[in-house]
Amino acid sequence: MFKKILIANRSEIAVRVIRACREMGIKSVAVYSDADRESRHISMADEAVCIGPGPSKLSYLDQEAVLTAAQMTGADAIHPGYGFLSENADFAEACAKRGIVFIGPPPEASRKLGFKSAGKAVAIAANVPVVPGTQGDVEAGVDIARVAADIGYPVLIKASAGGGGKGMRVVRQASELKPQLEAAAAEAKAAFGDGSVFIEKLLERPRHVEIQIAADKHGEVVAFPERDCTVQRRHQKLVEESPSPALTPDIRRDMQAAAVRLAKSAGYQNVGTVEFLYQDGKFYFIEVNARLQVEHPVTEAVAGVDLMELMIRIAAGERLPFGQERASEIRCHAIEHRINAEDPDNNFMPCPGRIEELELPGGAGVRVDTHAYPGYTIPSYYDSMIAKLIVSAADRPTALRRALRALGELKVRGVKTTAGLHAKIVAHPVFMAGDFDTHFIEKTKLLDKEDAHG
Amino acid sequence: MDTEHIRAVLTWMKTTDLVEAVYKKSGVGFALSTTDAPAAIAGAGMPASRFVPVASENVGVFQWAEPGKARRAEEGVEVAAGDALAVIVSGSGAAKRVKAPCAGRIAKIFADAGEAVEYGRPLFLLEPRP
Repeated sequence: MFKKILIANRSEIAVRVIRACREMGIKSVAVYSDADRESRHISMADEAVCIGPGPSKLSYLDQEAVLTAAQMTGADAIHPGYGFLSENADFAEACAKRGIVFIGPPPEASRKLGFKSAGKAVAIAANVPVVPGTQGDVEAGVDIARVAADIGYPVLIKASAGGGGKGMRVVRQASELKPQLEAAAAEAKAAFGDGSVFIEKLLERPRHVEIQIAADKHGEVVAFPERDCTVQRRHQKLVEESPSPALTPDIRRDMQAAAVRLAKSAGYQNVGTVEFLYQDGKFYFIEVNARLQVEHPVTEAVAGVDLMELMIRIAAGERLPFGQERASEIRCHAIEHRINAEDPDNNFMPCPGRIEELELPGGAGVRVDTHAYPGYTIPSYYDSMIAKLIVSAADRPTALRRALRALGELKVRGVKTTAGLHAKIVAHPVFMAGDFDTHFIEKTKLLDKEDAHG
Repeated sequence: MDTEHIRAVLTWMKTTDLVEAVYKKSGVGFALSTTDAPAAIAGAGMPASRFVPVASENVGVFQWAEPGKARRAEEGVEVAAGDALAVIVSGSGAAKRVKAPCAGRIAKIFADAGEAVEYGRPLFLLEPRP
């Protein structure tokens, strides 16, 4: 086992890693930027090294500074947390070159799965369903009407070079296909200088459902119960729960088996998440997150496991302590709320600043992961998440009531937070019923101002 | 550009720890800075120092000079602006120079060869030449 782990991250995830280190009897080294001098992870760690000024490019993303700090303090492993260097295969390689273990997947595996297009090819090869569509760009001379009919309407035309909705067209019937394809290609050509487009099936009511996996260095892979992260705003997850209110045991088993197949065929090691879209009883692979995600505590509660400890043990070469049967156990229902210092009434503008007062919820089935404390000043350089609230209970209705109770106990003064929005979501009849898709926030008009005269 | 918009930015800035904000789009924009932050530090009851501190801008091992070069920095020695006072050697072996920010006399040295230093670690105090 490692003797000393350097945590190349900040905020609540650095606190999370340090807690695991303490429980495992491993010494911890915190690194921090000039703007993070007040953060709680610094005082919790055994040692701390300031690695640069506020902007993350000059501190948390400065590979040389992080590696030098590890060498100077004699750390034998680096935990990257999420974000920053966590999915950087070059960094994982640089760690190995200096004889330091990177606690995460091997660089080859994250390269294979890291990019969306690359991951899709691995998925197809592993017989994991993907969103139906053309394999690559639409080429001249192809019977496009037949291709689209095979995919099944409605379809989405997307620019290969682009993003941001440019060159994107929804086609609902065959007669619209040709003109829309030409329009999309022209728009893509104008916007990106490249007119190539591809066609994909349009999922109109998808849920975002993901499978947490753990793979040791001896070829064993297990898949945990799914997390449902359907409630999103602009592709940012807001609420995550497990198990999903939409999945049946059969679909769950199929999804877990697909995730294990994918991990095995890519030679994946350590923990990771296989993300799917789910609609009408079918699931489609979207991407792999080669890291321990923000929402991992949901699975920790539901499966009764410590994923952080597991991750460290796997990196140290230990075997998985249990098999698939144990990993599949569903012990409760859990929900996570990401509490951000943002103003939901003002287009979610970040609200850095001083937290004058902070009261955290507690009691049965309540967990709060945070680096904040009363008097803490949220720096303006980083993301605005200040805490994660995770509640668990025997079943979904009880978990929802508990979530409302815990959100009510949370008091933050000095900065605006998204806690009130979370309460609105949990109390919404559509959320309670469990039948919703990734457009939940827009469809329920939850963000519309109650007072139109404002 | 509407000054009402700038007012909104300024109001928001005052709620943060930002002391400067610059916005530019298509060649036009604005730069704002608050007076609060420097005032808060200056008002802490400390008289202004006549010394200029030199802190480490890197993480690494402090050495007096690159291998094969002579030590330059001694307490009491006069240096010119830009002179290399020491180097910080990172884990990869790359050495970054610690340069004198102004001409003057080295009044105090806080580090010694072989010492591991972090970002922001005070290394020297310079007394600027009047």
